[in-house]
Amino acid sequence: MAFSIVQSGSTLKAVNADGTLTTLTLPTGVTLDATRKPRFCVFNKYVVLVNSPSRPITIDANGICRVLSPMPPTFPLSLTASSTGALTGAYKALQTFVILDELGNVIAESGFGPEMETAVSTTAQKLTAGQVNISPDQISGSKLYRTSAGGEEYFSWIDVDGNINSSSVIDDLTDESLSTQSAPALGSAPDLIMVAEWRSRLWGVSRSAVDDLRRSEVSQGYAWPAENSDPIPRIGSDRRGITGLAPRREALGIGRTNTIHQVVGNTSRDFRIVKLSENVGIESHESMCIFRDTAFWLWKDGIYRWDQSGIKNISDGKVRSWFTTDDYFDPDEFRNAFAQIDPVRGVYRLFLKDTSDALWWVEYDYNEDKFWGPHKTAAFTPTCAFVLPNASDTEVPLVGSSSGYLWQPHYQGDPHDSLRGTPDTDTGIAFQVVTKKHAQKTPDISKYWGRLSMIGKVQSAGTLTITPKLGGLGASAQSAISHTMSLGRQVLRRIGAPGVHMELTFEHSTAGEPVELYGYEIDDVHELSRR
Amino acid sequence: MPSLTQYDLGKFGVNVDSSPIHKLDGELSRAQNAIRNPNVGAEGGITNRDGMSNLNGTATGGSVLGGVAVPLGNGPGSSTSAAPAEILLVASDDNGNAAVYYDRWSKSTDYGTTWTAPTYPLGLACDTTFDTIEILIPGRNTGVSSGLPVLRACVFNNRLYYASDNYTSGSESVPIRVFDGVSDYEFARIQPTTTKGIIAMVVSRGTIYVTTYDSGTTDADWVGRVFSLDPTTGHLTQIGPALTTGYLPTAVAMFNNDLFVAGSKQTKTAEAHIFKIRPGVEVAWTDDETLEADHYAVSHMYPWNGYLYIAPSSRVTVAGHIVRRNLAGTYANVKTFAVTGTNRNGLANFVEFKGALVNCVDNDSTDAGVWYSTDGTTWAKLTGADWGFLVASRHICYVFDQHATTGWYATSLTTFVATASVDPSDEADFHHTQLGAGILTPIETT
Repeated sequence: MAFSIVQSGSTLKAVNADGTLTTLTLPTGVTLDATRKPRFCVFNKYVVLVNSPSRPITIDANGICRVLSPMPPTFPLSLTASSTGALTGAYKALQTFVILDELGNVIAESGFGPEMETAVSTTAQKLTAGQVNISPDQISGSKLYRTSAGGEEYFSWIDVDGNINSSSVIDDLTDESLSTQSAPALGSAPDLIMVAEWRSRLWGVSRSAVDDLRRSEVSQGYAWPAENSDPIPRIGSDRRGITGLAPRREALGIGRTNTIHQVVGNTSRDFRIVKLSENVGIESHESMCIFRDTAFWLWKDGIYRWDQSGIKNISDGKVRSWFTTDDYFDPDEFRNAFAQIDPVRGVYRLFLKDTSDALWWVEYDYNEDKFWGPHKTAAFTPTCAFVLPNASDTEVPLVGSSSGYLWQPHYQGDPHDSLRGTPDTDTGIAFQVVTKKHAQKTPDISKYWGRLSMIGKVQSAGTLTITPKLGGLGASAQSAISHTMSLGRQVLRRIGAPGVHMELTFEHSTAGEPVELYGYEIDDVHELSRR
Repeated sequence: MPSLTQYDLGKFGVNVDSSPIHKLDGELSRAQNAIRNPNVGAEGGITNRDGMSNLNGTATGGSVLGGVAVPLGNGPGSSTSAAPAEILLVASDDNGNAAVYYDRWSKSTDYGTTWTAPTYPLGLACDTTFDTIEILIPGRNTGVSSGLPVLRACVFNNRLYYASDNYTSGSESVPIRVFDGVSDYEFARIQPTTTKGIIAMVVSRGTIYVTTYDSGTTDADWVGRVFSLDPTTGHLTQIGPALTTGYLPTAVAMFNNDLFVAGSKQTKTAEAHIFKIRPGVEVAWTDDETLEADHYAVSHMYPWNGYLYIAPSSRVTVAGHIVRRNLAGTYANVKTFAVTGTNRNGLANFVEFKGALVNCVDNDSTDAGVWYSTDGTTWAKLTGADWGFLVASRHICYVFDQHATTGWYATSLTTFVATASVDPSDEADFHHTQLGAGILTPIETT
């Protein structure tokens, strides 16, 4: 059954669909930094975790953590000619470290150790491989590669079990019996700060070279040859380098703070880096969500969407002010924003801090092109967001909190959820809706506003507080009106006069009392005069 | 002037960019904790956002910095059950005892609290022809408990491959079946039909190896072969020729690209041999080692941390050993056990568990019990009163779930007390949990 993995402080936990936690054991020598965001990626049968661990690690379905690739051997093998055998010629050998699964399949292989400076000559002898390196990592063994007589190309030679150097390997496997395939391209994974899966490879950015896009070999997330590296233009233009990766179906987006590029192609022979835009970038890798081949993310001036039609700012014209002022959110904290897709509600949910360090979130309904929010909760402080498959394999958006709890929604209307429509545990949901300023298309004429009639779902209890604002554009609030939601429809008092504009604010925050409003009327409304 | 009617409340979501006099009627200036009403559609008004509750009853112990869904494993939909249950299978005898005479299975779906006799998997092959092959229960030298070792089954990719008993020895080809936790079906058969049975099935380095007892009645004329089994197609590929006549292949392991096979004898004063071959390269077995005198059989071999470990059975009047081979081909005894008793003197199979190599001494001495080592050189016996009865271990338990095998289990050989799971999370003090005693209850053979 599917489950989730979370980083809590400096520990790693597996979370079952029912919320049961299991602490995972990190590989020897690997620690998690509680100040760095963990960045995950699912690759083949493993979860890859980078940035927060001191070295990239993998986690398998049993919760076993391993280094993504062992460190390579540090010393050349020592080959000597020994007793009578089948080999004649000059030979060299290389060593790698391997991690195997319980069936003997290779989970990870390190880069090659240093090459021998000189070949060893034999005459009808065996080869003894000594000076076999031991690894500081938890490995299963080593692989030894060997040339054919006088050759330069290496072939798989011998698998050495265990992590020892107390014994030499003696062998005289003939050149003809060596593997027919030459040694694979290998390279231990760098200290990655972000990672993504695309074209059956892992792609990432090294902490020590933030301008370069690195990639692994196909289906071998552990193999990161040094040549699999491409600098992304505007090298050195800032210290952040690559700030986000967006793996779409046919392209891998690469964002800096001021440019967007994409990788296209299928293989190392035809991968090309193409510039998409110089006037948009990615502020936060955690804000990047891909859903149905469409990427959503946050930049400096709003939320962007990248799909078949190109890159577009989807918040302009509606909620641009959310992002271009500090009235709502703190632009300096955009780099720490995070997001999730809620496939049930059909929204892109973006979490941001305001200038008071309070956490809010906004929602973009990608089906109807609408924004909602900003939302908040008093129950917890969101710290991250992701999706957990529940026991029915339905994806449930989860929000992590500073208190160490994962929060799940209870969808209204979900017949399977007995808690549907409940508040945030014991905390009420601070519902606050402000309507437009109604002017009845005569924004320069003062009007009389009659009795307010509210229509909504008949609730079992609860009072909705309605605060009118009547007057000009800077009108102040009037005394509040109470709407008893158990009535369904209720005719309330007159709003009054004079007022060019009339705006209503609906508020409710009592726990356990849902709000569902269908509309309202004000009857009658008639013009008084232009004053 | 008409009334103000507003029934497209929130139809266009939030707009903070348009001026107050240019907003549409269905636009809101703020929608804090408000969303489109999901119950009635796009124009159904607004409601408060969904409430949330904490998923985990216990806090993680720190701020949750990030997370990821792990869509791994079979998951719902792969079976009729929404949540595939783990199945614990223990090879047992006709009376449900978990030791001595392993010819059938006991099954538990509650981690050993209760046990039943499953219809599937079928019984393990235990033809009466084998009753005289005493070596196949390591160390046994009386006729009371002759039988086959339980390594006639192995788990590969979460499936149990096993030598089933639905054949007539000597006249029907020997079947190999597969049990996937739900379904059980025949997968392959050994030819020719005169083959008496399968001795061992072992997974080593990603390959299933099968060894057979083909012909002969004593260790003067025994003939046995070694095969690799393709877990997808069921193709059986013989590796090398039959072993030297007089030896039966009782243990097999891949070590440094060579396949090692133990050739065991029946005569207690004889010596077992270790043969090796490089599959696909060499065409003949090389006699790599002759074990010392009176070490006549080998129950298991296991590559671990750079060495090949060998579990021999020896005559009751000589000291038993754990033997290992290094990369250069040198064999050495790394542990010697006490010699007492009259019944048996052998080792069971090795198990690697949480960094330790574990085996079990099966004799009447004070050394009888479970031993472990974290370096292969220094061996310690598990202590604790609960272990007093535990004189033999068998790798006889197979746990099915979406994550293949888990844990390690030991069983009593003499008192049939119970099956215990061992958790050597603390190397100095292995812990074990005694499972339910239901396995003691005789169960009907179906």
